[in-house]
Amino acid sequence: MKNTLIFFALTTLAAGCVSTDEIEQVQRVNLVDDWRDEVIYQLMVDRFANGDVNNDWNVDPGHLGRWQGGDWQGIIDRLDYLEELGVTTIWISPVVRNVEEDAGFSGYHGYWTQAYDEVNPHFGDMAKLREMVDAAHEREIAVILDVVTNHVGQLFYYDINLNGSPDENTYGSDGENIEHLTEWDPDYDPRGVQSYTSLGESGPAPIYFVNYPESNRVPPTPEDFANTAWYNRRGRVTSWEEDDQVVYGDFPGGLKDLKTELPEVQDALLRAFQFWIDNADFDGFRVDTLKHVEHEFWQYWTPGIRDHAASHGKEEFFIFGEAFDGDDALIGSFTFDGEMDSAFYFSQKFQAFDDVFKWGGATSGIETLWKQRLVNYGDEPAVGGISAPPQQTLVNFMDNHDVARFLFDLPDEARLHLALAFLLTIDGIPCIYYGTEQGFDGGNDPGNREVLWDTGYDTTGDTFVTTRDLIALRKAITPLRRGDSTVVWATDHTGDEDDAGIFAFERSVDGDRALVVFNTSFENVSVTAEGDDVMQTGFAGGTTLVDVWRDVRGSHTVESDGTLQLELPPGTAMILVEEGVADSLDR
Amino acid sequence: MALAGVLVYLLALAATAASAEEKGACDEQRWGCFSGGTYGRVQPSWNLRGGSGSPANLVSHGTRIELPPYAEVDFYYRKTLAPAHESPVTTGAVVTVGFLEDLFHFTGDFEQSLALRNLYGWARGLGNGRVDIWAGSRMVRGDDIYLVDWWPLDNLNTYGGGATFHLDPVDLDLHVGTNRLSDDFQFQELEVTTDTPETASVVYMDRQRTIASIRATITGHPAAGDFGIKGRLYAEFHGLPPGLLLYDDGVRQEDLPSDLGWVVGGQLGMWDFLPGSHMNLFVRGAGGLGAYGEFAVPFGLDSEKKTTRAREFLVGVSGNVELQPVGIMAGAYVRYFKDADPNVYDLDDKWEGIVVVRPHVYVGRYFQPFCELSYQRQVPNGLSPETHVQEPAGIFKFAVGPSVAFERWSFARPRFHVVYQLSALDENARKLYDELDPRREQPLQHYVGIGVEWWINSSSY
Repeated sequence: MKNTLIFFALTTLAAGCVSTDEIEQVQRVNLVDDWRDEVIYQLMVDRFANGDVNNDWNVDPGHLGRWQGGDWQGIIDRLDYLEELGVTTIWISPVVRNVEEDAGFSGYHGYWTQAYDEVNPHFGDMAKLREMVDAAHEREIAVILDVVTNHVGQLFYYDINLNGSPDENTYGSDGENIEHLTEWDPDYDPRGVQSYTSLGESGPAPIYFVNYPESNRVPPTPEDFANTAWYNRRGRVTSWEEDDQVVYGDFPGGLKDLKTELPEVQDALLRAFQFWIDNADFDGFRVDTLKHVEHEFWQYWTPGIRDHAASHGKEEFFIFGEAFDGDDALIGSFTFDGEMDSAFYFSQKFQAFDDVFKWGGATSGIETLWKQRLVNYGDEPAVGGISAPPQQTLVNFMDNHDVARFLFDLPDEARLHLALAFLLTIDGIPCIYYGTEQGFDGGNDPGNREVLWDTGYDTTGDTFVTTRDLIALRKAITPLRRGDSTVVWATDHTGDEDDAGIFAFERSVDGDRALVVFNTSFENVSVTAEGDDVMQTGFAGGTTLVDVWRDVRGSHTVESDGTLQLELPPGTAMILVEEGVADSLDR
Repeated sequence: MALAGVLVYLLALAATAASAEEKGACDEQRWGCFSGGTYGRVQPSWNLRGGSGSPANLVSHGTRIELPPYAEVDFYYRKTLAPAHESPVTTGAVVTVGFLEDLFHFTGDFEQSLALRNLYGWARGLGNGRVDIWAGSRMVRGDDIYLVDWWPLDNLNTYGGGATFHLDPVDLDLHVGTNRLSDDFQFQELEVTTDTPETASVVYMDRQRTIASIRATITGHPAAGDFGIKGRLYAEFHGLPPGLLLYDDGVRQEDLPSDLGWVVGGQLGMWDFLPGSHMNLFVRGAGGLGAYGEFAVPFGLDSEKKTTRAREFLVGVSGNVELQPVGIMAGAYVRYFKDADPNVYDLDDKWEGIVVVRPHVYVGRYFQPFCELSYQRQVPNGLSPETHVQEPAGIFKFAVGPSVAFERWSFARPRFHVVYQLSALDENARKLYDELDPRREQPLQHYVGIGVEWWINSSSY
């Protein structure tokens, strides 16, 4: 017994001697040389994997508007899954402490900031965050953090009736002019939300932060952010067409718009996110709500973030932003003047993935969009930014956490697979929204934020295998990652014409070349020709090209004049490389 | 509930009073005898900043000086079955009412937190004097580290029964008990509709923890005189069955797994190596549910919501020496706790320890001024949520004051005292207070108390 006790004591003592030195010092690594080599996997922490049941506060399984229990330990636990899929970067949802709950919904997504300087305890602590980033880095997976500068959570109300308490009222009794007024989220007023008494308007409505600890609706931190002069105080956006509203209005849901034109606010937001670079070895930021903040802010903030990252040795710190808009020029406007390294390519999501791959629209639309890229997006890297220019590093995606999933309104996995092939072969950086590989088909928020653990992290399903194989091809074929892109066939035809639905492009770099051809028509067998006009390639005459997608390797010989006529069954694609390259892939 | 408690209290007091009146005339064999006992401590306090004194501790068992008011009133009944030469068997019952926290005269609230700390019957001397038995609800405790008010080896609050076997020279105590805490970790009661507009209550989940303990104690007197030694081995087993928790929506359920726990430990003690002196050394290790204690709802669970990987290890020492005209009490422990989750860097996992020394000086017959020195420290395995570095924290305390007792002995009770204590908290210790807590800005905290502690015929465990 004595020996047992001594053994127990010694082993416990040994187990208890935990040195925190390693986790106190942020471990710095540089994984990414060229962001075009990356495949991003966007995951919502609360939904990806639950690795620690002890932080499952207020979890409400099945109610997707509320906490589900995912956390950073879950990411650590599922790195094998990500590695098998082949993604090289994960983009995680925000890590800052949020408002817990508002109007029956929870802050599981991370976009309701309450404390810029605290971790969200639902996901772990700072040590766990560092541990997660380090663990990802050990697998050579980079980590991008989602950040929000435009607004904070629902932390104050407008005291419109000057009674010192937040009110929600309904007015009107004639049955036609019923008006609902909430002091939490009043409509936009260009003068600033006005107070109002029985005698009429009474000047700008004062705002008051609330103190509801049970829902973490408490004044923001750092405490500078509790300065009421730091907010635009104009109320909620009611028209997305009015630029002033978009920039100065509160985001729907009562998310309070910061006065980002003020130098002191800019400084505070710069420090707030430099803090996260100091505290974990992130490899980049995804920036929320670009278009809701004025360009001058980004021209100040982004270089400051870049410089700070560089001071930690992160020379390729990647900053890309989200402007949720179909206007290509608007999205691209944030890639000039040192603003973003890249942007989330929303216009392509709408005009290519939705219009063409989902609904069978003309592929000429894609060509037109891509031509606009040369004008709408920066062609030089930002000073101090990543080494590739915005035009070549746009973040391509087919769906994300803000839009319905690809399969939602057209549950056709064949179309999804074709869209995946497009996503993983085009110019730019592919971004896969978690669950796509499992065939998730959720609708709009929060239906598109399913829990991944219900799938058992299956790696044998068709969509998982297709995604994995396409990623592997992208990694193996350099032109698919770094090559210049040239459209070699696009068409207005969507009916029964010869080339209906055909879209083809070449990717070439340093003499290596790949040709990718899609038949986006799911009705017609189409060819890369129309009458006498045959697709002209950049390959030398007589070159044998092999289709390396799928197991059946078809080979095709380029005509002496460089043309190539291919026939594609409905809804199929070919990824063609020279025979020698294909052989090397097989080996 | 409070009213019922007060009634029990009054009954106990009445019975105790009655036993005192009849003590001289009680007939143990015919009617049995009632008697009483009590333990208590009461100490109004000031913090010299206009408020009440508050404990400044960062270890799980801090210094005793700032303990809140607490009292136990014991009600004993004892009956002898036959003349001693015919049968050694006696039987009886114990009722102990415990009162905790703020008093009516302090808060103006005419209610008190109380609990039945003992409610059990016993019989001794069975099997030719070799077997004692008991059943009911009771405290099962061994020896304590007085200065931190803690029983570090064997300390169970249980609802069950047990037996002691006197196997000369070893006493073997066995016990099996249970608890079912009023927490949805163990118990869930639902309101359901009936075929009338009224509702009914249904116990949906009821998973009792079963706790068994075994304790072997050997005592001896290796030399002439009162000098004695004691050795003790101790073990506990905790078992918790699985359960099914129903969520508020009345549809979804959560499986709560079965779980186990254990405790092993030992104690070496000696007494009267100097008159009135004693010393105990404790070693204890625990795992699973046992690492948390019988009343704790476990936290830091593993992915299966079990406590399997939780560990506790401690070494403690307590004692006193009487070197007239000085008596010195001392206590110390070092404890490591690790919860069951896989987190390596975890604020819940920590080392902690405390050393306390309290000398008294016996001046004259009753006057016994004392002082107390202590240092406590914790070293968490996690990082501070504010600074993101490890922040070991420590508190040094010095207390001094006059006391009056009626024996020249450190443990003499009742003891009346006035105490002033100065606590010096390092920066990391202060950070353990919430940002809104004024004590966070107070590196020096004062505590002045006027108090008394007594135990009179109160050894009900």
